[in-house]
Amino acid sequence: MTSVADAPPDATADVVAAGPVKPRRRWNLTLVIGAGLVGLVVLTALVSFLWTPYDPTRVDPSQTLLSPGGDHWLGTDHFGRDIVSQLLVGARTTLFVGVVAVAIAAAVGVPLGLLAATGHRWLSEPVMRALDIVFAFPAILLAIILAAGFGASTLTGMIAIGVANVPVFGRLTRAGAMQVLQSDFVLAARSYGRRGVVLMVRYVLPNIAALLIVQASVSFAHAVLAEAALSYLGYGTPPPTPTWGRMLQEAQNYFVVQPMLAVWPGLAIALSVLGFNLMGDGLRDALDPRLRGR
Amino acid sequence: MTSTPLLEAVDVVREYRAPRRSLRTPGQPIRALDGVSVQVHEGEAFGIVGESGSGKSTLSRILMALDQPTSGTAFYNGQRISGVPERRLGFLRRDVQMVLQDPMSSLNPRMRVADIIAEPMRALRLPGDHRARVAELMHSVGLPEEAVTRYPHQFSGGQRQRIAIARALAAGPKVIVGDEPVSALDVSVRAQILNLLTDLAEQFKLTLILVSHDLSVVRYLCDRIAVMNQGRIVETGDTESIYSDPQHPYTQRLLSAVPTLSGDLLDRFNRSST
Amino acid sequence: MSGVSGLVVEDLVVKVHDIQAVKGVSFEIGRGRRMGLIGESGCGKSLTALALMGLLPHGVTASGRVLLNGRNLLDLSDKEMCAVRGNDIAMVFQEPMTALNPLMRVGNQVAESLRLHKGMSRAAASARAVELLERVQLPEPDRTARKYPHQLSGGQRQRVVLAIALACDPAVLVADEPTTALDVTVQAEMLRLMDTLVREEGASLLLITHDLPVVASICEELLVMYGGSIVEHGDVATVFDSPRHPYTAGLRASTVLESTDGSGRLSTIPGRVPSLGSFPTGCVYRNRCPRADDVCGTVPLLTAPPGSNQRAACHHPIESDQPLGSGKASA
Repeated sequence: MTSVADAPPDATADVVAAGPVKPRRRWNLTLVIGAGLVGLVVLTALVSFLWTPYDPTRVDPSQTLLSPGGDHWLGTDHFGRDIVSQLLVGARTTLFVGVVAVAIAAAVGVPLGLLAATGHRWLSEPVMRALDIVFAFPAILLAIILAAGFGASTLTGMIAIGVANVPVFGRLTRAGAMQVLQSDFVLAARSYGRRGVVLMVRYVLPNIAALLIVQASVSFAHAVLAEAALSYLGYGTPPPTPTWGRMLQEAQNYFVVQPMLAVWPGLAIALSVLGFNLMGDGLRDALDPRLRGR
Repeated sequence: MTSTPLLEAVDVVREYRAPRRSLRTPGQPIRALDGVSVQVHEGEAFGIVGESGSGKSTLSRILMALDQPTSGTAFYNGQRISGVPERRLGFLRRDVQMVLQDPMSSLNPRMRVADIIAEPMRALRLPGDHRARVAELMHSVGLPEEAVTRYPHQFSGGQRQRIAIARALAAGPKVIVGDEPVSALDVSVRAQILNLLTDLAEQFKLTLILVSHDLSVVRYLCDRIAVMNQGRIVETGDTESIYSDPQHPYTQRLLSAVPTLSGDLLDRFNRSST
Repeated sequence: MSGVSGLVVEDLVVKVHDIQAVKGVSFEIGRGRRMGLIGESGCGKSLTALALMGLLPHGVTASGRVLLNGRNLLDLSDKEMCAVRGNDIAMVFQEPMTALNPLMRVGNQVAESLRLHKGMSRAAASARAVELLERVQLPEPDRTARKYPHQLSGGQRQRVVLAIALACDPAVLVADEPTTALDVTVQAEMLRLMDTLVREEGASLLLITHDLPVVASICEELLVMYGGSIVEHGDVATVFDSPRHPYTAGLRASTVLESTDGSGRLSTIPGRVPSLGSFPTGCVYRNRCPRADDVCGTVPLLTAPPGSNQRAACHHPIESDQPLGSGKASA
């Protein structure tokens, strides 16, 4: 025990322990299920680039409204197009619209939120009120207006969904940033002259990143739903590109003859929305240090 | 004491506005500081003592130009620092650094220790080898050099406070403002950090400003103190003379309320408050 | 006299998952005695308090015996413990803001305890609540009773918490860092109040804190805890005057900042408190102790020298007139 007795009396004895002492991380079931569902959608979209059972846009009048089974696993629609192929390709549209819409929302909302958090009343008040107005404006209405002006396309759909989500990111960023700006480490940073954009990028953003990631996955779920709604209404991606929303809309007319036509895209939408929501919940728990290791 | 004080506050008033209670009348102003003047001289350890709400932290923020007085002015080395735009405060940002109470919240949890300590040098665009300087600072505060790749949560409270001290020293400051630097630490660690602060102050010829409610810590560390109560300085002078012969009734009451190991607190306190 | 037993704790073990955070602690607080429990963060003092109150969080279990009025509190069901808590044993927490319901008037919070435990009527409980608020020396008790916690100062809130704790005349009052969040002058008032009330009620007090002078101010007896074990026990004045355990001596030196050795530096305890589960085997303090040697690999017993009641768990205790560290072989 001489090494113990000879330990230096002061600072040097206060050495860093071998590692952080933390309880073992447990698997977060919500996150695993959510990420699994999301992964399935992503995989589906990727597979569709390489292979689909049939050309999803190939019309075959001899094979319309087939029931599941046989050569067409999930059957065919009223034009004789293969349902599986349409679902696979539709996942692409869904993901693409979701990614771009969330990117638009975050790219506009986060800087606005940071701007509003800096505290200048004459800056933050107008920004926040403008966001309130956008928030009150329905995304569908915006999409219809854009479609009327520029013609319905995937792009107008994405922009409408993205813009509608800007206030969500703006408000969240402002609230999170205001809290971080109150913290001691920001005070310390100001004491050695950190300010402006660098302070925001190096101190504030990393500390609200978890919040934003969670919001992104929840917004993604909303975007998937909104895209389906727009396609259903005919203000999203135009035919013949398959989307889950339009598959649902077209199935409506043949519901009595072939109800399964509506079930498949409906199931696809429900599962991916559920996946993104669960992933958001799971990420919130996983990224929140207060909830970690319980 | 005829030389120019290093840091000075002249007749500083700081008012906050209470949130409004009705649509017609604006919120009432609250005076956090009510005409405070104080001088801190080069090389001394100056204590600002008071209870919560006394304005001691507000005063320290104004002396660092991290808060602006409603009226009155603060000076550093004879130069005005109140109401000066941030971009012209480079001299102050380099010379005056701070150590805060809670070492967990005063370190950016998303940065590695190496970056935390190098930040002041980067922010102030100081020349030199930052990595070598970080290593040197880790040594100065008694932390192993290899630990620079870790994150703050991987350290104990005392170690985090050492990191905060290393960061405060990074830019080669002349003044360190400690706002309750040892209040959140365990008793046994507190003495280690106090020793470190005194050693470093001597080694780097630092002027110390210590803001604290802990009268024993202030007494140990400071040459001169100002006692604050409700936004005013009620008494200022040499530490020993204030502790041995407090003049102002508030200071007397404050000192009588400090418990000691001899266990005579209630007797003393009863005598002073009746 | 202390002969009448108030609270008896025998071999209390508290486990966090599978790690022993409190390692078989035994002590006794005589009726009307005021006991201090001292320790740094992570020593197990708060877990001990929560175990006495039956308030341990999930995943934390207690075994051993906690005897109060002839019953082992650890054997009681949740429902029985609920009746005991507040009635026979009550607790004051560190942070009065979180101990009070922010949406309930403070008078009602005091009255609730009376209605729950004493079965008082609404009107009687309200009247008694005002009396209690007066006892804890709150100004204008009838007006204060109608206020919400956020309208009171920190010291006033802590008085309300104390009023709730004392509402049913408990035999034992457990106070966990009751004055740590308060200003010095408010702390002194609070300590004076606790001292008065505990004396008047004839209750036993267990005061848990990291602050040695606070214990010195209102306690008679002292337990020093480190690494889940009691390392020293005795009369407050004796222990602080001449600590026998090196840890107590180190704590004392770190507290009394005036005491420096020749170099003008404060004496410190080297290193830091290990995290839960990484304390050394044998004597829990041996990796930081200047006196540690091979013998310290075995667990020391809490014993007193003949003719003394100052017990220390140390193989090399400090004898009265021997300075700290002299037991160490010269380097």
